[in-house]
Amino acid sequence: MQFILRWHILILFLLVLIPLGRAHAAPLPSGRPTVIEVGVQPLGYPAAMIGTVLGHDAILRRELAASGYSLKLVPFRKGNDMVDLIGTSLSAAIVGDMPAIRMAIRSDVCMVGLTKKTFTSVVARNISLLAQLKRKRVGYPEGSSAHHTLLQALASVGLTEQDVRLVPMDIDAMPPSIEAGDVDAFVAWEPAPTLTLVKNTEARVLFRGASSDFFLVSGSLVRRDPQAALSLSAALVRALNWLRQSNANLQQAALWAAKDAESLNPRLQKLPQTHVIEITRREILDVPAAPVIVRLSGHPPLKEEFYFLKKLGKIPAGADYQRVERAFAYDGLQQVLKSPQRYRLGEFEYRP
Amino acid sequence: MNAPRKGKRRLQGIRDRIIAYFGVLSLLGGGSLLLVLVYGAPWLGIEGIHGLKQAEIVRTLENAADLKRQSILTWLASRRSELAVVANSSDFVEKAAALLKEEATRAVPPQERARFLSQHLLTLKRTSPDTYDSLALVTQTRKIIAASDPDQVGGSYRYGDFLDTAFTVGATEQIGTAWAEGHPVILISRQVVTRDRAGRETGEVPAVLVGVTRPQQSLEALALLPGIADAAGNQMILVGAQGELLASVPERRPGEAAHDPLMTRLSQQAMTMTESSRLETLEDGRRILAAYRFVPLGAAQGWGIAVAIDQEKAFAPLVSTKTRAALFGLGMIAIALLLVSWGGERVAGPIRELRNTVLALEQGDLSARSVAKRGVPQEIVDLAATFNSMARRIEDSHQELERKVAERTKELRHEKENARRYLDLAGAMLVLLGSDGCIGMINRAGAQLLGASEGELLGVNWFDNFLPPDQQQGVREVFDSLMRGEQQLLEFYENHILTRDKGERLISWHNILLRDEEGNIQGVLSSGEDITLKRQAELERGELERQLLHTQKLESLGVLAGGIAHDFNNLLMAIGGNVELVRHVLEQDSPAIKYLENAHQATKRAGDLTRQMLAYSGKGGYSVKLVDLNRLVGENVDLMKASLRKGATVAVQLQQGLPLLEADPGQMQQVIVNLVTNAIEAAGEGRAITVTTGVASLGATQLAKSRLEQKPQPGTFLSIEVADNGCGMDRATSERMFDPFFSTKFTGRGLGLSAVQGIVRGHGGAIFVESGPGAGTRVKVLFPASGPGSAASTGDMVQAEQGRPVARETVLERALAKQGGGKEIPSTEVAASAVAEEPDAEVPEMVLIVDDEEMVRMVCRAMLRGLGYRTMVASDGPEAVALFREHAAEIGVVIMDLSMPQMDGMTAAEHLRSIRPDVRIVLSSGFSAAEEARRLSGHQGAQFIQKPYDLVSLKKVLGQVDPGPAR
Repeated sequence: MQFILRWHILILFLLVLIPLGRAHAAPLPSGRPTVIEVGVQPLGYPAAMIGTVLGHDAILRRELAASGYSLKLVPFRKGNDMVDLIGTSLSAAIVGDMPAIRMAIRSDVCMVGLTKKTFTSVVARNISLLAQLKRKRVGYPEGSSAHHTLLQALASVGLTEQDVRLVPMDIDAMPPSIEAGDVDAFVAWEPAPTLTLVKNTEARVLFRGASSDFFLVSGSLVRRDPQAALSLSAALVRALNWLRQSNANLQQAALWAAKDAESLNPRLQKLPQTHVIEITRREILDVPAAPVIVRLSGHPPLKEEFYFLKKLGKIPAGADYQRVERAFAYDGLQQVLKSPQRYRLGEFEYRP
Repeated sequence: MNAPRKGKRRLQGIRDRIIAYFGVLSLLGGGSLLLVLVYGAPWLGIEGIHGLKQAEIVRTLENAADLKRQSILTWLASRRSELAVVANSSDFVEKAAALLKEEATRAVPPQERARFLSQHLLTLKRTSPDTYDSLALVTQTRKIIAASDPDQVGGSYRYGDFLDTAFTVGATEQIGTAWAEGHPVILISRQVVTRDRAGRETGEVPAVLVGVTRPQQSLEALALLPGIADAAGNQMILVGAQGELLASVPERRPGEAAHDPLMTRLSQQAMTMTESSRLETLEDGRRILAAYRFVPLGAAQGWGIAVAIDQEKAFAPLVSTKTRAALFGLGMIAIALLLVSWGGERVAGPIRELRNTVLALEQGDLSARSVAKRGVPQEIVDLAATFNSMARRIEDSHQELERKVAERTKELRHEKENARRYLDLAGAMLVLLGSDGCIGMINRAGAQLLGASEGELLGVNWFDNFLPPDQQQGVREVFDSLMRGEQQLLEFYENHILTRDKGERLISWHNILLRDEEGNIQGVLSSGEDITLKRQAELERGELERQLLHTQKLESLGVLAGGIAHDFNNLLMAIGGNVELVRHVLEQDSPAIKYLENAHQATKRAGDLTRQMLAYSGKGGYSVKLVDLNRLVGENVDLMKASLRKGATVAVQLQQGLPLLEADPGQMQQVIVNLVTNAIEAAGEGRAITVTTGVASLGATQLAKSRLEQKPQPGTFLSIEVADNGCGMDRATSERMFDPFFSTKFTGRGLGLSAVQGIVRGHGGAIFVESGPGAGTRVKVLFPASGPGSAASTGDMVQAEQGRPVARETVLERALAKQGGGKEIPSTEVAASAVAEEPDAEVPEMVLIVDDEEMVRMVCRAMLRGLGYRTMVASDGPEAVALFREHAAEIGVVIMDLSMPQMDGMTAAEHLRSIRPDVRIVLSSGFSAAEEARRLSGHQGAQFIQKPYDLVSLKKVLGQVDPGPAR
């Protein structure tokens, strides 16, 4: 009997020692900090600016460290690459509306705030009207907000996907492709349109469709460690406040962002800093109330995009839009804004 | 070459063509160039004016829309900045916070603080004149605590929905729209955030500052692009998030805009929160170019801007330009055509002159020459020189050609005449029938055959005029099918044609089809030969050949019959002789005598048979005498009446005064008996037979009907006619009735009528037969009358020897011709005419018997011994000559067979006479050679005895030779 009791104690001891894995970023009992990975997109603006400012936020790192976390920014080429990782290795991410919907359907996420209010543009060379896209080669990132914008554009002049020759490609490959004549047009978000328009006077924007980027955190993090999630939310507000504070801050952030982008793609065409700053101002800093998402009655967020993904088969046919609405119901940002001093929204400590 | 008509020549001239080609090419090229310039050629990378213009217009619209959006954003940014300055002012915030705090603690409102705050707001309104309708500081309970209009202070704020949004946590700024007094207004809010003593925000929002402004003011206050929004038919609008019309240039009332297709379309598209440029067709058919822009005012809201321009008006300058360009192009083309016309005339003029010269040459003016004028292109000068050289050669060649043609024409005419002569010389008819069956050509021989002139026959239908009526339709059908190519041509064939003067002629045709170069049948060329006479001659020759064949057959049969009769006679000689010898040996009352007599009668009947056979073969006995035909007929018919069938009658009609007939009486008897016998057998019971004699003169035509191959010469003939009313004969039976051994009777031997034929032939007569099935038979035999005289006048038959030969040349005849003749000793009746020597009374005379048949030799020796003669025998001629040479003195008489191998009897007789000229010789033969024996015996002392002979005959002939042999 004593022998059996000892064995039970031993098994229990071993079970306690076995780590539960990294699916949930929780502080390790051993004292070693757990890594909170935040997915960022260095190739897109102003997401790259916000992402890099978050990475340099010493206050955030201290607050997370105090909770037993360390911060790690993980670069991705596009938001769709992060969909399968959110809730597992990724605890937070800056993604566009389409990946945000897919994440909300696939796992438990909480929308913190707006990081971009911009346009996704259809850019073409030597074409002035949308209707002239018929039988032309159009580069596009499949399943993205840009894809959605392309369908919007085609539908507005009575065309369908079958009327154009679709060429799937990455965003950063689009400017050189249209320059080389590999495609007649492409649909993408910034900075690809601006890069093309700056370099080629024959290029024109045929269509712009509104799109957004969001900063979101995994639901598991919010439930397990709401304070950590609020720290991330406060870092977003702080970052925007810092960028709004001065042009010097914007220039500094642009330098950091360019470095991040070069690390991911050394051959990437570099956008002039003035354009980066202009894009950042236009698409997030000057947007009234940003990053707060003001709910307007009769305008459910991302509903049209939700059904677009459903039509494409990118999300299950039985997916429920209420999961998206629940993700937007997260009030972390409001909590932070109500206590600006507590979350040090007016204090800035960004280190290179 | 015919000269072209004037009108056509004008149209087809080089100058005209150059102008036409250039004109068409210019129009096509100019038109194409214009089209490409206007509308472009995307596959060539050419962008047309139209596209460029459209792009320019679109760009202008987009610039206008972008500028307007930027101006609105700038205007909003100004308002936001103004409100932010006020709301962030520490003094303003403190006063506002203090006011709200005092309001909460005091019952009476702190008027001074409110005035202070309102003054700030009024100052702001005045600072930006014509911008704000009102400015107000409002609490979350919608209470106005300060306002640019002091009357509003303390009241409830009218835009409550907007306030709910404006107080959203974190929504520092908010922009919205509302409807006030029939006009849209823009609401801009700024949260008033309290700060602690250190100046840090506390997060508390006691009130919001709201500014109200007019969108139309904001839109109009900014500069518009000339030619876009101010032109008639063009439009710029600003719409809110719900599609409501906030402002428009030119200005439209919201109610009015709802019924305008342009405004409706722009509003619908502008609220989609997208930006684009597009060419659109409105409900009323107008086409517009529009640019849309989106003014973002928050995470999920914004305004829309639309700038539109009427396409027709936008492109009006281009249309005008195109028209002017087209007119200019047409003008240039017209000028170019004038120049081309002038240049074309410079080129075409010399060519036309050259053409006229060629036409003159073509029309026969071989002296026509071209003259190259000054200024003419060198190529034309060279061409004219070359042409003149060519014209000279043509003239020379023409003259040479005319000379050759004349010569050739002369030759052809001559050849044609020759050909005509050849055709005319041809013995055959040459006729060419066209496909319609009419004569297209006919030569002289053909015309002569048809009995008309050549000219008269041309075009005459062959089938209707020269074919027997019963052949016209059939031959015409065959000809027509031949012309249609449905039937093979009969290269050779024969048919009858009708001539105008020669009746129906049989023509042998050789035909060939005539075809044209494409192989179509044009007619038939036929060579016809009149073979009427030739065919008739062939028929006659065939008949002669048939007759000759028949004659040869009969002759062969005669030879056969003669040979058989000869051998039979030898046998009968042996039989009859032996029988007679036996009868002489026996006693007269011996019962064997009766049997021997029967055998003797049989031998005689057999002898009759062989005589018939010899008669048919023409080798029968021929003892010509003057015969009274009536008497002979009467005697024989009387004898034969006993043979008549029951009820049958025979009538004899003898013509009186008939001349005597030179004939063999025995054979005449054979004729009568055979004819009457046949009639009796054919008539049967109860029928009548008539035997008639007569005399008549017959011509060649009548004699041609004779059944004998050899027709007698015309003359007078005696006739015997035997007629019966029996069953008659059909044609086949009648044809063969004279053939030997042919008989329709069961018991007949078939030699009776054959013998009659042979006898009549032998007498140079003729036979006529008339018969038909059921019509009886009438047979009439004719014998040539010998001359004047009548049996009736004498009343008795006069027999006279006739010396003229009637048989063919035989061995016997040749022997008689050499020996000088002999006497005839008939087997049945021996005529004593020769000089006979008395035999030696004491020593029987030696008789040499010469015969190749041993039985004959033995019988003859026995008969001679019975008569008392000594005998010697020899089996052939050489042996006989040898024996005679040895016993010439002893041998008194030689009985010599005429037909023997190695040496015939006549030759042997000559040898014997050469040994002893006075030797007496009796010739013997199974043939009937009585005439030859008669001549031989009459001149040379020779006698003849016909086999088979009996003792009496032998004794008689030996008695004539040697009347005194010992007995």
